[in-house]
Amino acid sequence: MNLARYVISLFVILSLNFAIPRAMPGDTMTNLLGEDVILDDTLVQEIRREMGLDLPLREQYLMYWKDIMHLNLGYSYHFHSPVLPLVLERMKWTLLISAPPLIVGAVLGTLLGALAGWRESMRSRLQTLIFLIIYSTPPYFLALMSLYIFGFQLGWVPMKGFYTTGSAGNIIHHIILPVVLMSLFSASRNYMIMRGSVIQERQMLYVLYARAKGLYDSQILFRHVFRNAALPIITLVALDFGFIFSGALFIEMVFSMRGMGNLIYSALLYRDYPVLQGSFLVITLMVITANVVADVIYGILDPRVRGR
Amino acid sequence: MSLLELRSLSVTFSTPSGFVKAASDVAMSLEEHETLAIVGETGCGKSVIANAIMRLLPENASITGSVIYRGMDLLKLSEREMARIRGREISIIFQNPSAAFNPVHRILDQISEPLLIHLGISKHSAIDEAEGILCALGLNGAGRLYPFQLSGGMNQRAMIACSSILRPRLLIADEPTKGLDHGMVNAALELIRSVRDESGASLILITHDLDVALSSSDRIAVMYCGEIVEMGKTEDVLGDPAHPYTEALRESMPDRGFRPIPGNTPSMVSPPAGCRFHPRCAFKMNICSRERPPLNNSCERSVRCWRCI
Repeated sequence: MNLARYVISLFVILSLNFAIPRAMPGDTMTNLLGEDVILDDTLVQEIRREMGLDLPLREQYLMYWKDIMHLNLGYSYHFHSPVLPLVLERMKWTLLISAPPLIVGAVLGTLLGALAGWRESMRSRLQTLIFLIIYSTPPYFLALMSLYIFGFQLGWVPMKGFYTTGSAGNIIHHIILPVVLMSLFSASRNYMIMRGSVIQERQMLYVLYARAKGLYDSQILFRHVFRNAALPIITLVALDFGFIFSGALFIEMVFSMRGMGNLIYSALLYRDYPVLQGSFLVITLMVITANVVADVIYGILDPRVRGR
Repeated sequence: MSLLELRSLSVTFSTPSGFVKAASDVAMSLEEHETLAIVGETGCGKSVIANAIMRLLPENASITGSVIYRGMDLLKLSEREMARIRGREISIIFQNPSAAFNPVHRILDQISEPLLIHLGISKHSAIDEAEGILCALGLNGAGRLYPFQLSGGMNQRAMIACSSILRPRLLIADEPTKGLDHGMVNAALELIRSVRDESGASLILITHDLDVALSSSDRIAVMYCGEIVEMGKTEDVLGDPAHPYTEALRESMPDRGFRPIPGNTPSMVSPPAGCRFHPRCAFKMNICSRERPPLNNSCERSVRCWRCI
């Protein structure tokens, strides 16, 4: 049942992806090629024919699906490259800086948040204050500040890019600051949600009953409360995963990293629709996959969801 | 020596609207194999007593006095020592079984949990034992289900099994019949009584239903506004109440004419001076509003009323 829902959403989103450039005002081909490409008329006619833009919409639509099935995402005249290898190459780098923070942030935020929500202490209050400050600072501001301090003033990390020599150590040196920053952001969000969730669960009767059975403090937290309180985190992490590429945009801009976020940004600036279409396709697939995975995990953790 | 003795136990909650005196100067004792009923209106402090004995009160509660269980003062134990007593020596049955179970764990895992944490036996044999107990209760197969898949009555039987699985010496049942329909009340009581007799435990039965107290308890303590106002053998107290509140409580039962007690439940933040029941009492004297009556002991009956001195 759920699977059908996801297949339908995928179908609808991809159809919209087909429709949007064609619904734009102006010439479809200018929209599809991008505005900065200047060609003479005969060449335009030739490309138009080659791309099938002289065909009726119905046939164009069928061709669009056929291309997707063959993983043919078109050609970017702006980047002078087929879209698919371009997107894959950029994805690789963005995943490298976004995936570790996603995992570290989820684990760290959830654990610390659970402990802070369970027992109030001087330390947990200070911790909450720090995470709250990170949580409420705009990401680009913190990124700029830390780039200024650690990159420019102290010179601990390079100012830009993914690598200079390309060795593993060199890459790590380049990405360490953005990775730490994004981990902190992700952790602070998960921390806040988990802390609130544990505070709420703490009032439940089953927690009191667990204590009445003879469970000791931390046993109650990890045997009983944690699983119930962590349920909202799953949704959050799934959302983060779905928007991993667009989420990295600010960081990539500040650290001048040529990843997915930067690709989407420049494609937007230059109206490079094939690249935008390709990126949307990838984002769509990620969001839907993340939702499927979240659904499955929910089912495993919460029997009440499984029954439905 | 009594199994349990409460000595001038007082519980105060600090809340934004002031200090709530939920229990004041409560003294009572419980012998081995004895059943004591605690009755009174909602909010009179009966459940607070139960939770104070097990030290399950929230952090804003302050407890004074002592709870002597087999010679040790439970209020002086560390949290870790107390955890070893909870569930093994003293167990509680809550009034809302469906919420007392964790929604994301199987019934079987939750019932076998006391075995795991107190006896340190293997998970496999704990599950086996729990399964046997569920079968004996007619809940075959229910152990593999989750609390939301069982009815309230089934959850309650499962909780009684869970609370008594280690054969505790003291069982506390906090309003076990609240919210059950009439047919279920007797079944639930029957089960609690049989569990009590099987493990040779003493029972504290907290209820607002005098019929339940009458059918299942040896002695009874009547509470009003955080105080014990009358205590004695159940038949004596309910058959011939000495305190006007006990009398009024009896008259308010459906089969005795359903006559409500006049006036409102007093504030627990600033309880009435003198006898706490005097604003609602039909036999009020001058002294009642000035001085607090002591709990007067005579021939196995204690009464807190100026008329009985």
